[in-house]
Amino acid sequence: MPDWQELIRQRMQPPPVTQTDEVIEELSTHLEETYNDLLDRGCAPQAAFERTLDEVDDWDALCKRISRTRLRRNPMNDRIKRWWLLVAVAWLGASLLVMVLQRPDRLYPNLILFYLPWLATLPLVCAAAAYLEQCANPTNDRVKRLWLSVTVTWLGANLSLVVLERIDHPELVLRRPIPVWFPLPGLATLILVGAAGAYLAQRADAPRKTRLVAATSPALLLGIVMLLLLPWRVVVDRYPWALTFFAIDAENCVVVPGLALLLGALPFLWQGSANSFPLPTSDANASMPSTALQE
Amino acid sequence: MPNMTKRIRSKIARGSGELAILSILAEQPLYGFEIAKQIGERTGGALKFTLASLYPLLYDMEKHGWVEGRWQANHAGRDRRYYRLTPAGRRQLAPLRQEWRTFFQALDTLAGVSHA
Repeated sequence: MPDWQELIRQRMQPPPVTQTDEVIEELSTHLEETYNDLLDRGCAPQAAFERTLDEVDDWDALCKRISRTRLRRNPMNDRIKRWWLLVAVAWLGASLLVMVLQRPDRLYPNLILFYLPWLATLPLVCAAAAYLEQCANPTNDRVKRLWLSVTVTWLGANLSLVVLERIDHPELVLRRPIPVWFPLPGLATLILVGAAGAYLAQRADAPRKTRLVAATSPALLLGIVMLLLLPWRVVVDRYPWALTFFAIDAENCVVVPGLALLLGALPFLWQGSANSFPLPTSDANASMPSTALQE
Repeated sequence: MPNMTKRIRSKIARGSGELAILSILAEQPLYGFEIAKQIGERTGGALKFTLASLYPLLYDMEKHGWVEGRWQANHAGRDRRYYRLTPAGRRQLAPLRQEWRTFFQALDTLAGVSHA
């Protein structure tokens, strides 16, 4: 019996760019079935082998076609396209609103209401990011699951930020554009949120680095936003204490909450991923009930 | 002109291939080899899928969400990737059938194909 998998590996050079093992297994199964069918119909082994090889006249072209079909992502559906634009506009609008309202001479009567539109856009932004990642790598199912962990982390962190700060220090919430995350209940919640983010990422079979980013993403992104806003505060606003306040805010909003998130994530960073034992794709899916494909 | 002919043929082959696969999967889930075999047998060999023509089309249809492939062990314990029609594929089938019916009627009107 020819080794069809090996034959395909030799002829498909370079191999298809995604899910190579799965494709090779499926194609080799097809060749093997074709070969056996020819033998059953009385063909001599050598003739059957040659006729089986006739199934593919140009391996390079086949490889390119498979790669192309697997790379070009199905746009899922038109709703996603529309959502993507809506999300981008909502995110941009909400961010601009935050920038405008965060002028130091403004006071906010109700910070929760002020943050609500922004919070509401976060899951959509995560979904959009997941979709873009999916476009780049159509077979990466982790992304579908990973965006949940990032969203949970984000929402948890921000809700703890807004709600608990309001309970602990209402006067601070009313005066500061970015609330301080120091109070202990807030930090304790952040530890739980970091743990939840890392755990969900682990369940999604994400590598350690991705788990770390998912768990600490609120602090990381806030740090990036603050860094981007810093030149504006210094050059455009000419705010004399910009650097000092940047350092204080960085400590309050990035370093301390980041450490709390990291602390919660730690137990899930040292463990292997939930599905880390090697399973060939076919075996992994062979456990489906036999009725799974029935209508 | 030869290029245009080739393009038209390619589109016809592709369209007919999609219709054949969707039609046969509408009856039951099948794996690749069985899809090719059944289409060949039921069309008396007029439509013949090779590995090179079948799988890129299947993957493309899977990408469009018309079919869904899943590995599953058969009764002998052998793993095969079975394809089934999705609801989107089922919705795609009716207009595709209508398109081809219209196409053949048009050809028939023009060239009397059905009596040829």
